[in-house]
Amino acid sequence: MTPPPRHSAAQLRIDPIDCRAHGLCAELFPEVIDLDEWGYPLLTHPDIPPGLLIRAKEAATACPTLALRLTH
Amino acid sequence: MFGLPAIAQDMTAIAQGAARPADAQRLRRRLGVIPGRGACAHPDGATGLVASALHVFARDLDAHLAGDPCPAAAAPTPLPLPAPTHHTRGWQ
Repeated sequence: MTPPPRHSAAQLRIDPIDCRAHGLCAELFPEVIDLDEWGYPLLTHPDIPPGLLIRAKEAATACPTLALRLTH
Repeated sequence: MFGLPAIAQDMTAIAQGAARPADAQRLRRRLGVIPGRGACAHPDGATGLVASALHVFARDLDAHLAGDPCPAAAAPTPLPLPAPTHHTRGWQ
């Protein structure tokens, strides 16, 4: 039996406790992050393709409350 | 704490016969974006309750959206909420 392919895509996550709806993430990374009507982020595609990794890192670094995190 | 107060206001307007079909559509949209995004499971439970009520009481919902208020909407609440204190102000 062949093992299932390892899922190695990087993922963006939002800590709902830390997030204060600054909205920087959606401005920096609109391909993946949308805002709801109250200004809180909605991840449209949490799995980040390799080509967008740098953008995802930049958005995570720019989050004023460090609520946006990139995990592998 | 923005989504649940908005949903509570929507439900109040529906019960009072003050909401219209477009308001119910907005409510359903709101119910779709809240689950899984709170700091705990309270929003999931509250939105689940409202979604269930819209489904089970669909006939009443139609009547309310046509301007017919719930007879109980004008009655005093059986469990009145305490007035906000300095501890609760800001997050309620």
